[in-house]
Amino acid sequence: MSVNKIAIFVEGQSELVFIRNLLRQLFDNSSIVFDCIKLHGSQTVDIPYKHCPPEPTAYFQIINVENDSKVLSAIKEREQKLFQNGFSKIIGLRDMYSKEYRKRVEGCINDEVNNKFVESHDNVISFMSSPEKISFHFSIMEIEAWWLGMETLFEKVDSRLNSQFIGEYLDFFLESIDPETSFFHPAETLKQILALVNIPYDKKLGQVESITSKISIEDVETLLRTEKCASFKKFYESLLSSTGDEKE
Amino acid sequence: MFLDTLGYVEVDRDGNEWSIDDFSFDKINLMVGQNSTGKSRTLNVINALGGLLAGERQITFSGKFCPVFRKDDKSKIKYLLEHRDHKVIKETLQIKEKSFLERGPDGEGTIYAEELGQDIKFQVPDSLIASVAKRDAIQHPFFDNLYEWGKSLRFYQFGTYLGRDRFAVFNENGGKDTLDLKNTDSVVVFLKKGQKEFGKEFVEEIISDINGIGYNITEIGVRPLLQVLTPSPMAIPEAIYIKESEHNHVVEQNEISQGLFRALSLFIQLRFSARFGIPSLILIDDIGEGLDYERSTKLISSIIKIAKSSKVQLIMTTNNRFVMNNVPLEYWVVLIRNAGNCRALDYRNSKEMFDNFEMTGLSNFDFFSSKYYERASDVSK
Repeated sequence: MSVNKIAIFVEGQSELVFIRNLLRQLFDNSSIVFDCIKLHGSQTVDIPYKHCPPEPTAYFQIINVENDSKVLSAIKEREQKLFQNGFSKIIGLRDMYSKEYRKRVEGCINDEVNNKFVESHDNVISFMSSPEKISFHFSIMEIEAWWLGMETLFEKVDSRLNSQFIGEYLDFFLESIDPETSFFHPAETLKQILALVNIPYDKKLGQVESITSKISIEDVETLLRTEKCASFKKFYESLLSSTGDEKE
Repeated sequence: MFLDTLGYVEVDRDGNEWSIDDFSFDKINLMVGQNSTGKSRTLNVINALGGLLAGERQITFSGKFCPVFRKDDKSKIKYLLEHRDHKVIKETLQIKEKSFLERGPDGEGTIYAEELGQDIKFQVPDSLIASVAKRDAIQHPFFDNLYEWGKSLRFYQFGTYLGRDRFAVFNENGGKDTLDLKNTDSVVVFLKKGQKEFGKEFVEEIISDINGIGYNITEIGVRPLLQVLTPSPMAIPEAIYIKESEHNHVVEQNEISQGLFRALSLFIQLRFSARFGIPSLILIDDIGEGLDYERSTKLISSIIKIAKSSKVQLIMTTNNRFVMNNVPLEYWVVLIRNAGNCRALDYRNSKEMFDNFEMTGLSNFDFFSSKYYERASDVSK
């Protein structure tokens, strides 16, 4: 049986850990294999997240490029070789929140600017060797917005962190807002929520692991059933279709 | 005082013209461009201009320099020097749009005299530059700005040995009678003299600089080079040595890797130069050449930090992708050559193009390697 090979380029450690855990939730662990790689300069460094079952049907290579503005460059540099080496799809993921974005807006989400970033990226991809095999995604504004969309996730981190408790202190109720349109800097919002129970958050590996390991398939499916986090839905569909394993 | 813009035209002895359109410079500048677009040549032109204004070199065949300088108070100094066949044919100086010097092909002209408060006539030999020949702190103090600018300009060619192949022989006092701060091959002398005059602090600064870019040096100094057989015990050449923390033995100058030596030499010279007054302009050709990702990245950050924290202006050239990726596009000057003419795209004249590129999510190097600027300027045409 041939193995479907997919490369996923992400901007940082949080995205890598989240996707690795998501893949484990979405697919039968005995059928997928994945490698996690970090790009340092133009060199690749293996990072210890290997998962190698004996007879996989899908191979995911997750590449952390360690810089939001280098995700597309890293794809551009490697896409031809990856396709020559049998990869069937490349997926890119980065945050919309970036230095370049902040330069263009005044501390708030601007749909017009979002669209310009998306169009500019799509335009670059259209000049690549097989644009139809490359899909690029922005988490809006950051990947933490997707976690904020999973309303009951924080109760699993600390049982006090239900929507009511958070709302009392922070003046918003997670069940009634779309984090994608509400929070300009979702990582900061996440930090404020966790600070309510004295848990620090500054994107350290252990902290990201601790949160993302608690994301279950139910959290994902619940989020997909809502109108929230449209950017997550697109990314999720792209991930599923990459293996030809569309779910309803 | 900063170099604000520079235009230049030169005609060689075969009648071939090479020119640069008015390049505009900011405080920090990184010139990039394909090979043979004129990056190094532009630095050579600026260096030559500095040498001419400081009276350190003579005019040669044919050329026309049109620099504009910007003083700290934002006022502009416009200077023009045109020469042909070793003779000046035109020289003018305007400050805040007022003429201070007008000089024609026969060496005759008028110059403003401060004490008299009026223009006076003068004549100098046609091979001399009036702004140098007529320097006078009382009557013509306005030339001092140009002189000081040229005198304190420094030019480092990072892709060369930067003194690695030069040793030094010192006199009994451990120094040299004259020291040319512009001679970048004199690195052994700079280190020895710096050590002697400024002591331990000078050496520690250099060790900190070099370790800051990823090396582990514990000691730097100058000592007689034992490996060289010399004809006389009176003339033992001295050379730089280092000690690295992981190997506690001495590594002599000729054994130091080229990349490390270039970085070391640059830091020694920058620190030495700074001790003798802040340079007006530092030119560095091929910055990062021969260094790996980690070190070239840190080197460029370190140099930009030094420039940002002082009044010095910095113009660098590179083809190194790591350097390009670590220098913000605001500092870029992209050279485009069309036959014998070079023009430059930068954030000041092509802001929209640079802003649009930022949204593509590509790295700075892609701006250069994919020739994005050519496509974008074609579209704008």
